Amino acid sequence: MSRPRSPHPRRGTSGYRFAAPWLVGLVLLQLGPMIAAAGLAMTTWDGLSDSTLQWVGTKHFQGLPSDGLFSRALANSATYTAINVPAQLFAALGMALLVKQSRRHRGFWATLYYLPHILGGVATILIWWWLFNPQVGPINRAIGAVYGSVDGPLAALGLGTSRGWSLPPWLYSPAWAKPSVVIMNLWQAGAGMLIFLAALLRGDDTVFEAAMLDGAGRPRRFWHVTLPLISPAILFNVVTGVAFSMQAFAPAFLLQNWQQQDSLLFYVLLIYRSAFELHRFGYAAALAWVLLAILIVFTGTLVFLTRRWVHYDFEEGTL
Amino acid sequence: MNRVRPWLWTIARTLLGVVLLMPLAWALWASLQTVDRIFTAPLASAQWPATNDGETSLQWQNYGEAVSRLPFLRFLLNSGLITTAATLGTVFTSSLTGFAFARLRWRGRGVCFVLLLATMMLPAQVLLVPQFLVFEHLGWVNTYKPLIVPSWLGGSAFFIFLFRQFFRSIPQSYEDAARLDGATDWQLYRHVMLPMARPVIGAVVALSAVFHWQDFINPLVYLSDFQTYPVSVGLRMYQAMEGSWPNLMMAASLIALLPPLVVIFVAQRYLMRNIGVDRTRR
Repeated sequence: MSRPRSPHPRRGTSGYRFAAPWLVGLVLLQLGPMIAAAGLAMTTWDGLSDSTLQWVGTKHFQGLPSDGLFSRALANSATYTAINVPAQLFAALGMALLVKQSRRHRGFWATLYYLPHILGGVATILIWWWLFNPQVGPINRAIGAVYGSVDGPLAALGLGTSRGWSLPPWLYSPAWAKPSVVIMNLWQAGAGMLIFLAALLRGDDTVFEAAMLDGAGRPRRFWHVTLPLISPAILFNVVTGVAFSMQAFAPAFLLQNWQQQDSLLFYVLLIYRSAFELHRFGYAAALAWVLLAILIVFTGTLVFLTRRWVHYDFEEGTL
Repeated sequence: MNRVRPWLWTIARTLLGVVLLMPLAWALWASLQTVDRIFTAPLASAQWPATNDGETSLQWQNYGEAVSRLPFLRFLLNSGLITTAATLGTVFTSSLTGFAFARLRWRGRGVCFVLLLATMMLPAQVLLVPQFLVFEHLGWVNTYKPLIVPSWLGGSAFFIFLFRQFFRSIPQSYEDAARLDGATDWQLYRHVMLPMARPVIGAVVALSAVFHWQDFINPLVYLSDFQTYPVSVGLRMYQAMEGSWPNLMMAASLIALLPPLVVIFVAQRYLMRNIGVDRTRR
């Protein structure tokens, strides 16, 4: 060694070099574009030639309250989020509790339940597209078979319905389209399950045993031990669930049809259409900023309101 | 009482598992039928043992046909290329950044860490339009660069966070020993920290690979020549062109699902170890 090195270099420039790729990406791909988008939202631009760029100030933002497509898309995404997030939460927690009960094969069950989520994507959406087919899809054929088998006995008992049974039209009706997507997502609740499972397993079994010795029954153990234990996981799943649901794109894009009458016109689908089909980049940038503001305000409010209720226990190496 | 319960739990778990596998089982069944039989065959009468009476036998040729109707092998190749390049970049640059946050001291590290957490919450789709303008300005539209280069610039904040948490958990004595031997920061990262991070690398490779394989909106926005499409966008062409051929569409979908399936089976122990599921089995 020609040059002695101190074992603990205090401050150096090495950190910048290691973080350089990320820092470049942060400036060029995240912060820069975000600020640029704020400027772009004040213009009309077709994204093609600079000559079409025109400053219009806050016109796009002022027009939004009376913009029918905007309110439709926002209402669609908000409704979908309001159904989807609680459904996901209960399904994921149920799965996690089921997996936790298995003492010897947790890895197997967790992987099995997580599998549909990892397989998510265009391929599974297309599979569900056919599963939901109202005429020939297996879901309605199974429901029809059940109807058919109970119809006879019910009629014999005088309980038959005169108007007959109707099968859900699933993706081909305004009322059923969103629930269909929610059901499809339930199949993929495994991602939230992993978060819950990690939180549940962090709790030592001794905590549960102590509660049991104190005579706490199953419901009380759930309310007073399990729930506080997983409260950060609940908050995390709600925050990410809302962000993901508000940003849902692929299901809306792939499963849309005219029979739904725009009930799957989700917010990001409107952004996509405005920018890449109608070439209204200024308007699309304004839409993106409104979504960003909504998500920031929502997340901030939620974290603030739950600060007393969520028990953070940030240990090294845990999430 | 307590002896009966485990059985009930096992039954519930198994039932749920069967329900979750049913869509895939149906897709597999449908991919091996003629179109007519998908619509008419009783659901419970799947003819698994191949009989030789034409209509009801398993139509293995569906897979060949599904692959040849569109340049599907080309799509698979494109997806493989994008996924590999993006995943390599993600693992390399997110581990570097995680290392910088965990073990190096530099001015502004605290501020940068807050920014990292903020971008973790930043919705990706919000950046879709502004990022497109950046890449368009660079003349990168209709190339793979917009799909690959971001992964070489830190990848995802979540993966950086995973690496940071792991590197922080490594005892200081390892670092001290390496420093006393005269190790540079790079050598500390490359020869001490990275070899220990194999579980995290495994998890990040798996999650990043699956994410890039499934990515739909970015290739949809950036690619317009269908010869360059990855599988995700290519399958969409199936929906548009072959909507009335569910058997071929299911065959193509299942082929597209095969790589993620393999990845999760290879990497499941890394994924599960990271969340502590495997703790009981050690």
